[in-house]
Amino acid sequence: MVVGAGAIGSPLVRGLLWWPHLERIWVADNDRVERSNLPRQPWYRVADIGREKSRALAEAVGDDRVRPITVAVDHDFTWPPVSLIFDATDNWPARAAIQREAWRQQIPWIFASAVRWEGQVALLRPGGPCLECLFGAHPTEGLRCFEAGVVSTVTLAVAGQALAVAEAWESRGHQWEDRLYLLDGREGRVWWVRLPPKECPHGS
Amino acid sequence: MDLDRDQMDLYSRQMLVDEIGFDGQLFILATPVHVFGPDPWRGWATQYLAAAGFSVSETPHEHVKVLIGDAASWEVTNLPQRGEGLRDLGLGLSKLLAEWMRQVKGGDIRNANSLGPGE
Ligand SMILES: [Zn+2]
Repeated sequence: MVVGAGAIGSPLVRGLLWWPHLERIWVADNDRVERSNLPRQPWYRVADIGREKSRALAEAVGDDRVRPITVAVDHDFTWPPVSLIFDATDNWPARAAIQREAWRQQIPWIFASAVRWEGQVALLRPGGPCLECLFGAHPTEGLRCFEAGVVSTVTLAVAGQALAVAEAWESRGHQWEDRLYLLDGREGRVWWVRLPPKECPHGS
Repeated sequence: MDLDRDQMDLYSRQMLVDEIGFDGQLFILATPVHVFGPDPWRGWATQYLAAAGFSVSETPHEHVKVLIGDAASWEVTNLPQRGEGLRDLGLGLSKLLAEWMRQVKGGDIRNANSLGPGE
């Protein structure tokens, strides 16, 4: 399941279609397409402005494995059964809801974010470090892309990195090293830091 | 050259990035880009660069090569059709854009591109 049909979610959904054995991709977003989305989300057209994003995306990719969900992913969201959740949102409450559900279903989720020329990606799994281990109990909202701006090709790179860690998880899930990937678009480079293999004290 | 209200709205997020800004957006809108490469990468690169505001033309080719104006280029061989390939395409295009932006704003290639802002 991909939460967010925006700058990271839309290329991610396209990339997931390369997985031959994937039966279903849920894509959840309660936003509507805005003009300022178009440079980073080139699948949407001017004619899509005002339409529900997840529905417009599902239609644009034209693959019936992709199913739109047009309500917000929050506390009250009813989750379908899934095997992996991608965070392609830009806010912490949605990420907290994703993590809560991932731990409940005992599945991993993939954190992804992009601002300006930089991106971050991490696969978080039950029993490993959680969002709070990474960013503290009350992560400051930080600068979101509508305040700080973002470069569209960086969001593309972040979607690719999120896909890459999911592919790695699928192929070698049992020997997993927890990492935070950092991307720098200005330098065109990606590197990672190893997350310390300590017990998460927050109930992951 | 100026931007109308729709264009201001359209490009607002990328103009907020310091290295781009309003003047950088004008350079983007005045600059041709050519994308060489195989599917699916040529299509991805073309979509993103055109959406950013460049005038993009494309040619099928064995390897990915992107030229911005006649001053900056990036090329890569054998991108794998999976996450890593998508990431490397995004990073390569980002670095190319950053370098080209530094050049045009530094004035290095102003004369090579006769359509710069205010001209
Ligand atoms: Zn924790």
